[in-house]
Amino acid sequence: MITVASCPVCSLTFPPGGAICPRCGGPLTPSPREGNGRVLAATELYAPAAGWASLHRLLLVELEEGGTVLATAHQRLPRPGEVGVVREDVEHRWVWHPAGD
Amino acid sequence: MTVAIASTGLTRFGKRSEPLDALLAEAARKALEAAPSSARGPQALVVGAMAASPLGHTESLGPKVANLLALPEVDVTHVEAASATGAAAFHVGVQLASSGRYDRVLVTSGEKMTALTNPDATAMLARSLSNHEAAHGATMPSMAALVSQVYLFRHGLTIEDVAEVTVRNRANGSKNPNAQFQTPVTPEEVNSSRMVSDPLRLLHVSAVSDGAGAVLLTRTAPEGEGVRVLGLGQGTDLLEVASRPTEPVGFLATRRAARAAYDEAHIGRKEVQVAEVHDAFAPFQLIDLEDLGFCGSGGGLAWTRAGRGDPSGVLPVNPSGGLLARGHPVGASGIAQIIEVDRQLRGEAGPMQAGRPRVGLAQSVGGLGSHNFVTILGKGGP
Repeated sequence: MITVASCPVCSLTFPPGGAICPRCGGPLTPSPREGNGRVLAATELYAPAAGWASLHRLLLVELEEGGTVLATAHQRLPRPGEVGVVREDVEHRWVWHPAGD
Repeated sequence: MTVAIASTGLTRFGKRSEPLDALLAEAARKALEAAPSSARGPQALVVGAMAASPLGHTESLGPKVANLLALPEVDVTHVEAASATGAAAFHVGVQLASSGRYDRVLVTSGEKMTALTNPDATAMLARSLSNHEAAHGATMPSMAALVSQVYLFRHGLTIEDVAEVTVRNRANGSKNPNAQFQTPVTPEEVNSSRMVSDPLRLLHVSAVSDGAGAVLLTRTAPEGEGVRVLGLGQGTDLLEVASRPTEPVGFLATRRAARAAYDEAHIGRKEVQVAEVHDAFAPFQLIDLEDLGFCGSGGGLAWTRAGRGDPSGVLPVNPSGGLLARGHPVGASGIAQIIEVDRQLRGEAGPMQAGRPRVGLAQSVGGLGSHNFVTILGKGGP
């Protein structure tokens, strides 16, 4: 389960924290999502920024309930098209888990 | 009245020992020395740098550069627009000149990046992403990798196909005396270079670099000779790549900027005869070609393979070698592109000269496509 910010006016989805939609100015509202989704793109970063471990994995995940989110993956790099679930970790980062995990 | 380019100056790009203000002054001094005597006393100075303090370890760049140039009474402004800073500084300079308040405006824009380690420079550049993306450890190359992956998948291309871009740009850059990389590379070298962020390899990615470029702007009659500014365009998009309403197979900000620039110049894309586009990552050049309307969606690779963008092609693209050959000191790249277009229009590009173009375009990507710029220049007179 993750909580995104969604705009009731233009239906776009954003990370939490904002008050107004950056696109249309509509009021952003917290929207819980199950986090189920399909990987749109995934990369392993071999030269991460200072303070991050290598390999660092980043994904774009299309959520079943609408919207695309950025997430990390801890265990392995999923393939585009693979289904799984995005959950929030203790540091409030969104982490992808393979289906059934 | 319209705004004309009186003269330009470029430093050599690559690892430089000088501090940022000295690089900016070096480029500016070259522009001033190349200017006709009537244009040498700039009344305004626009300085561009994306991250003067964290990358270049300096602040108050305007007065520092003014002092180095012995211009103590010039009006100074500092401009920042991430990796499009050089283009943004140029646009501000043009607007100052066209306002009528100043007859002569000097723009100098650059960056000093090699004083930091690569991981530190990478972390610094990642600050131009959204806070959420940065909090997930995203970097410019990793976000570019995700965009590239979607682009390649949607158009049925492979990353091996994209080596074409690096090979052609590095071949062009071998003729550029200011480029950081002046040696050609083969497709095999591109495709076996070390991985940076899958699918992007080292030779798909422009290098951390130092350098600066400067332009002296004057006002002139619309029908005057020389190189004039025909059109400026800026486009913005949502900062958060994942939240954008369309799939990341192109940059809405480039399409918006191009439309505005074409409209202001009263020309269509088919009238552009030379272009310098933002190839910070090799797949971006294909995206740029499509966003600028030079070819249809997904057609960038075929257009490139057909030689249309070669120096002898119908529309030479990055005859300077682009960012992939020149290096990418983030605050310098945008103005360097404009300077290279200016030199093409004047017929003064030396071994890089690509025909005798009369209309040229430069396109710069700010951040990960969040604020992009298009500049159109034209050659007046016979």
